Amino acid sequence: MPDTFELGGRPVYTGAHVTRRQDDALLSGQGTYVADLRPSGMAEVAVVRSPVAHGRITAIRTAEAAAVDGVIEVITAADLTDVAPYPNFAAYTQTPGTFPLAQDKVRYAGSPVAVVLAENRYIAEDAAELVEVDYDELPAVTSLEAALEPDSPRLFEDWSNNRLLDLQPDDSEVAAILASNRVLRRRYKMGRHTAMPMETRAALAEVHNGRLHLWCTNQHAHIARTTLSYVLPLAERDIRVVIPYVGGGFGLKQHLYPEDVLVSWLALRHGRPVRFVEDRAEHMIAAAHARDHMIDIEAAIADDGRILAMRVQVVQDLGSAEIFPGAWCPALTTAAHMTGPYDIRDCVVSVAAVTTNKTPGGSYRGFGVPEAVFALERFIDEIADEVGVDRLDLRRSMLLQPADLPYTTASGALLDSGSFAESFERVVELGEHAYRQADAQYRSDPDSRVGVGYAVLFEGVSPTHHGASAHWMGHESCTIEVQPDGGVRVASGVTDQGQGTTTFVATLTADALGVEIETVRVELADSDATPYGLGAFGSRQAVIGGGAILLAAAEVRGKVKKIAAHMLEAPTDDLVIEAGRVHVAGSPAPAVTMAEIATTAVIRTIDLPPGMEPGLEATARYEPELMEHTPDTKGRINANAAYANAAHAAVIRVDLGTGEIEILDYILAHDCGTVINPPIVDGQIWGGIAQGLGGTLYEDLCFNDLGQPQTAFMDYLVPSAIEMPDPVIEHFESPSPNTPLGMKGVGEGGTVGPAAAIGNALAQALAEFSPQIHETPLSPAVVRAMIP
Amino acid sequence: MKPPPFAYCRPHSLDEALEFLAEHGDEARPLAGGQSLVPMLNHRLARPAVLVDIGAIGDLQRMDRNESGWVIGATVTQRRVERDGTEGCDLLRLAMPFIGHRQIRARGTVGGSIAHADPAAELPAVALTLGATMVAASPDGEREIPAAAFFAGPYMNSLEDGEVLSHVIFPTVPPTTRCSFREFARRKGDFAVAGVAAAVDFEDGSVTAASLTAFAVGANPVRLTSAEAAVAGRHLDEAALTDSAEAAAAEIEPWDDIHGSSQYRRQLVAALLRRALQEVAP
Ligand SMILES: Cc1cc2nc3c(=O)[nH]c(=O)nc-3n(C[C@H](O)[C@H](O)[C@H](O)COP(=O)(O)OP(=O)(O)OC[C@H]3O[C@@H](n4cnc5c(N)ncnc54)[C@H](O)[C@@H]3O)c2cc1C
Repeated sequence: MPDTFELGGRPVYTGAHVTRRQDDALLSGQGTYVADLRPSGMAEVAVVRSPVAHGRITAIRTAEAAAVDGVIEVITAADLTDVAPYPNFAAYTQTPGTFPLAQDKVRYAGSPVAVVLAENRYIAEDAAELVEVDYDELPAVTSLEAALEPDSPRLFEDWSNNRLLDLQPDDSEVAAILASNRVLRRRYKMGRHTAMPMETRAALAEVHNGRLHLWCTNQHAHIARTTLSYVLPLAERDIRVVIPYVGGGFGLKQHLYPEDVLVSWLALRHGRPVRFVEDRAEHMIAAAHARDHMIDIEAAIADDGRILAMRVQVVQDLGSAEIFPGAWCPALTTAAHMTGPYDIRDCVVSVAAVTTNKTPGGSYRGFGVPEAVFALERFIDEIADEVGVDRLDLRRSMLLQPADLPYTTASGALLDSGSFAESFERVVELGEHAYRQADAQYRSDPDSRVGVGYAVLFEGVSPTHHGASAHWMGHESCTIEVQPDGGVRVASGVTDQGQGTTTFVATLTADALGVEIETVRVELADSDATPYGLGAFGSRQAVIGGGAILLAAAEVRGKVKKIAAHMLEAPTDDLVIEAGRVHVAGSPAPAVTMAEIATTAVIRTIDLPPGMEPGLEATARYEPELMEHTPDTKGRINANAAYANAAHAAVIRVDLGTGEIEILDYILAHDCGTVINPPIVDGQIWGGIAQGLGGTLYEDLCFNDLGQPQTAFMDYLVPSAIEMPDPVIEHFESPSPNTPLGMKGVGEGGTVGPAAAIGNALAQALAEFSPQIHETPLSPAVVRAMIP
Repeated sequence: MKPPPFAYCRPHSLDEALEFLAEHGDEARPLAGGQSLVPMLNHRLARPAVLVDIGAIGDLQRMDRNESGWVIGATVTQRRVERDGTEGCDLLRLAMPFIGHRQIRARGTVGGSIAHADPAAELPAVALTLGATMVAASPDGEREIPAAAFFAGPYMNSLEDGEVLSHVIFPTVPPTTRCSFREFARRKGDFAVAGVAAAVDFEDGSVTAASLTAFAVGANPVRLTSAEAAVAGRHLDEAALTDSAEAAAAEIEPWDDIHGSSQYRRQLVAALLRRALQEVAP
């Protein structure tokens, strides 16, 4: 680790309550989203989507729609002669050959089949109704179990099965341990749910001087630009991607969707701005779904319940898999988290990702980890019951203690720091107290049962992109320029979906340069204005983007000091930068200001030290040294730059009459290493818990046997403020020795634990009925069925 | 989610509205608070050519109490009923907070909810439980329709083409009548998965009259006649509660949907009815 990762001085903003930069604009309705952009001459599209889950397209008739007043053109796949299918760089998967419009088959209800371009969305929707498509319906595959059947109908006829990914590692060592010990087996499933950002997907394409400008909601300006250049007949230099205000991404907006390509193609063809704004009904069927995993665990158990070895099979239901980047990576991430923060040295995981006739799965906050945590933490409670030991003591006997660190897990994850045991003990202390209170309150109520459940976990943060794309890796970029007035421009490849990225960029830049934060202007998410970076995913931006900022700032800082030393006639090493002024440490005067230094650097260059190049600017790139992109021969990989950890406790009341679970208390101890902005960290945890609760108790994307989606937005129950408990959040800070400033990502720790904690609380609450709790969501109907 | 094209008019008198409706026949549709109709337009589930906005008609906005009960104009908002209160008609007061959220109730109307006849809606259940009277207006005059004859299936009512629901009369009940309104929804403000309304009169601790209704368990709210019979003349002791709850679960024919099976809805109705009866027991 280079020592340039230091801030360079005393932090003023880092670790302090810096107000988020965008709050004023957001709270006063001034944020400009794609849906607010209305360039003159703009046309809009409506997408004709397949009502059929699986079928061959035999005819498409567009003439009647094209004749509607105000319709500019109706296109189908046949028109896209110069468009290439999305690439697939992952040699270890089969290739769906995803095309922006269905070519001859549709593989999910909602699949885009044709596009109507019209003067406005009203006309486009009127005409879309008139497009007639004939389908030869095929039997639909609607569950992962069905997809695994050898005689299952195939989605892709040139494949020999429905397994896009099928990794079966050598399990002989674990098999031997299983053969000579007591073995426990369980199957766990997590249902299908997804992100419901307030802003749906949107894209607006314009052509300026022969260049395509795409304003969109994607989480990556540069990956989007590069991908567009692969799919469209356009050089990358002729594409600019700009991401304005975004109302929540959560991973769902990581994918470059067909509509992004289609509006671009239409804008190029017609030379006028073309916009798509997804409506909520489309969002339910055409934006990426998530989770939908099945996990089989077989474990060799010692007499005291400790897990000696595990053989695990993870199966992910990908839906139709027609999405870019592909969506199998959550299953790999599940595999990497199967041992949790426990000392379980022998664990082998096979992974399959199968295609079904459902909306393509994709990225969603948590990204495979909630599935692993739910399965493992439920499993540990079940072992405790089976063996007759205390579930907390069983965890204690396996949890990694401070002396065990650094620890490399069976999957290859390097846990270099963390507070696994400490955070767990704290949550147990608070959880048991809250449980005793709840028990006292409801003991005499014949309709209520209360329970407390725990989950303790680590989560890989700042991962390589290689697992998802097999193409991009893991670096981030930053350019810092001090302008003649001393103001700072910082441009980075990171992006802001509302989580406060802009604020941390300003914070670290200000502290690393020793300037006042108000003098820092942040430029993100414009591929013309920022150096190539990978943007938002996997809680990476503070860690990796932060590293790039610190590297660029160190270079600028060094030059600032050299110029100042020359101007002040003082030794460079004696100088400090504070509040935009450079002076000798301990004596505030004489001083030179950032403005004077920058003016010297770019205007009055005659005053520069002899031989120094003009300019006060640096661009840096940072890729964490320990992050690995591909596994070793045994399948082990340290795919993340860091590992955060958390412990959750849920105290619940179950209504025996209705089956409803009420969260009485939610307690979470979290450790994301060094904290840059405490309120933002709290906000991430709150939001994470809400999404975790949503998937555990409320949200369920259902399909019937024909592959017809059954969950409209009205039935997709995102928890609201009323359903959200007021969580107790405890902070631990175990800085990573391997990341800039010891930072770890914070985006996901709240999301990944609720299913496990609530599942375990339910098992305790209903213990008298011996409930089988192996699946989420735990809807009231499901819970009621556990009660006689 | 854009509506198909439609024409829109906003008459200021009931006569004018009825004229528009007569002129356009089944092409026209009254628009009240729009909280159900506008989503249906956006989803293209309804395609009226003409929307007759009845929101500016003063006659439909009255809310008075007379000797038979509360006379509530069709376009009185749900929020107004909740805020102004309906003395002597406790069940209405108890039910109002369950309708959506305050924002919805601020626009949604009493007449709109009843005319819309959503199987899971609260107001139709209240109307049935109390034996409310619906007053329909047409160019030929007014006619009264008892609640028990008004609901004609899911999202269907027995208004004729060209008729408008002008007001609803919710009878007030004697002070000896005790009411309870119970529903189970997945989140606060969601439509009910199942619900129960009860208005029970007692003498010396025994039930003299019970009106029990379940909703969100079938096409329209249903009176639980077996459950009513099970408590008739009895003290609401544990045995009576159990008998009534079991009778209710047996007599309804709920449907399955993604929030629960028919069996689950029976269990819910039994649990909710038991709690409602516990609540009204003197
Ligand atoms: C998010 C949300 C949650 C909701 N939750 C609930 C809930 O929990 N419980 C519940 O009961 N409702 C709920 N609603 C619906 C709400 O109560 C509506 O207000 C009500 O169903 C319809 O009333 P409206 O005035 O909005 O009628 P509109 O939407 O304007 O009309 C509904 C239908 O009734 C017809 N109509 C309206 N007035 C008359 C009239 N006077 N004569 C003849 N026909 C008429 C219209 O033509 C239309 O067909 C919810 C709505 C939303 C958007």
